[in-house]
Amino acid sequence: VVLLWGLAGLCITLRGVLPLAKDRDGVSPHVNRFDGLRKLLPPGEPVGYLGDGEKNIQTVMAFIQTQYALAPVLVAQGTDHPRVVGNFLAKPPTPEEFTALRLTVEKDFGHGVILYRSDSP
Amino acid sequence: MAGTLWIPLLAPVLFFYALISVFLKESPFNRVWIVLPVSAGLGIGCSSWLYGVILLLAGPPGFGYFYFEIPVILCISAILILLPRHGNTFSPKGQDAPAVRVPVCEKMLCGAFLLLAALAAVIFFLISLKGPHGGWDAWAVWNLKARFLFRDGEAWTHAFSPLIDWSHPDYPLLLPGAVARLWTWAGAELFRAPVTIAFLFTFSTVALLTSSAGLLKGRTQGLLGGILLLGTLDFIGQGASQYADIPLAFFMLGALVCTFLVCRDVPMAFRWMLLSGALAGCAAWTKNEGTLFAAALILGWMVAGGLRHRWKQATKEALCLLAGALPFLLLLAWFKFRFAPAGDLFARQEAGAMLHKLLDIDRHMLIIKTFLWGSLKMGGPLVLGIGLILLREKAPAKTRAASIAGWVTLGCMLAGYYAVYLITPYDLGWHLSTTADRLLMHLWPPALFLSVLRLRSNNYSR
Repeated sequence: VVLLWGLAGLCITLRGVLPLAKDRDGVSPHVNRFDGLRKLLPPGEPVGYLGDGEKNIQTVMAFIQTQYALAPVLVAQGTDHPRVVGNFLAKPPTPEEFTALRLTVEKDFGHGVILYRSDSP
Repeated sequence: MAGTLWIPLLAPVLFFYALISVFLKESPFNRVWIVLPVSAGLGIGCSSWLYGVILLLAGPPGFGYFYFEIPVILCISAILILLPRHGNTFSPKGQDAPAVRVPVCEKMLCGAFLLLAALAAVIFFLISLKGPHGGWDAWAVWNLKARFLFRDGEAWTHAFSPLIDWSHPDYPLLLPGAVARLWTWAGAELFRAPVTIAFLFTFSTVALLTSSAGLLKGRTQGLLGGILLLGTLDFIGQGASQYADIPLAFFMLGALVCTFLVCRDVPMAFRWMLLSGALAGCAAWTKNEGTLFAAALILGWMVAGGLRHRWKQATKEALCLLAGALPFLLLLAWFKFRFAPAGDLFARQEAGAMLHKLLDIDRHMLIIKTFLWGSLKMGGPLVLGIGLILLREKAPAKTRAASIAGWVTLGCMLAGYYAVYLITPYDLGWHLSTTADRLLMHLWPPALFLSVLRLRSNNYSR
């Protein structure tokens, strides 16, 4: 019984792994988008963060993965820092929204990764 | 140095293998399959401790650190290996084991165990291949910290910034330190560093459980314990996810195994207790829950001593345990007081709110329900429970103290987890759903070890 139980437990774990094996890793593609940006940011200076609008598990995960990608640069939600990282998986904000947030694009790295400079005093 | 991770990985393991073998050379329980997994855990734990000392003193060490570390530990290992010894050698060949014929069914069980272990290793590598960054907590907490330590010497203290309070900046650094140490050696963030560490902890837990239960009770019980652990839903999954929970479970199991050897090997009792303390110290340097474990183990040992009216002896042994854990506890205290921000449990709420939560019956019911469902979901506890009902026998008098201490320790841990959930500042449902499975997994390998020792012996057990 114990043997069968052990085998069943491992088979269930294996079944959970195999369909996802095709997708490989969900983290690497997200994190690799930040390689260019990371080289540009000085490690001692925290940056703000702007992501896709609504707060859900995907946007929280995207924020945390951004911090993981950019460490040791600290990433803080909001636009209260001189530089702000934009991470848009859906669509980037319109130029009107930039103006409202007093942000200007410093560099667009593609794949939804944009570095902004904050014009706030 | 990329590709040669085995040097910084195996050097500390070899060092502890040699050290423990010499330290316990007179002990009949100084067996290769117990010493080897313990050395693997202690090797990773203590090298991370040394890395932590240098880190907190002077910031993240560069490659130059290894010009000191590796030659010193290899030299000491060589001296220990070459020391003239009397009595047992490195891997004593079971001097108290009678020469009995191993029955066919036991051979088959052993074969099945090895097959399951091989299958588990394949599954482990598939999971690691699929997600080399590990599971959510691995990249959001443990590997994130390792990146802070490895990537930039100047900004490493950002790892403890309140700005990233979701990453538990107050958690200790055994795992991030061990990963950052290997990355420093390799000069690159190799995925295989955290994967190998996770592999060593996961399979050392299985090896230690199987060998120690086999030695203390009988091969059949040891193999059954190993099979139950391998087949536990999510054990391999959590191990391969690179979380700190399986390393913590390993250190807890190791510390409890050593307390049993304290009872069985009276002449070497203080030495086994020192080793138990070192493993409990590693647990404290792994996760905050490890500090609770170290305290609970000391309490459990004192309770067991008190029940047998042997306060004086138990106090001496508990002091020995504390001495073993002391280097880790001192480093932990330094880290907590000097670098880490306040923990999130108490910092975010007032006493009145906590009291209200303590009296909320719905919270109690939800926690109990989650604990019960979580245990059932793991599968193993159910099978083991049935086995214990059918095949239970009284705990042997020799190891009753360790058995009492073990169950008191695990009881205190469970009570501690219960209390934390009760007063958590987070939404209770969310907190339970995201953490309870992992917390129960801390307790499962030690509980499995304590339980299989109560299964009826066969004729071939010792």
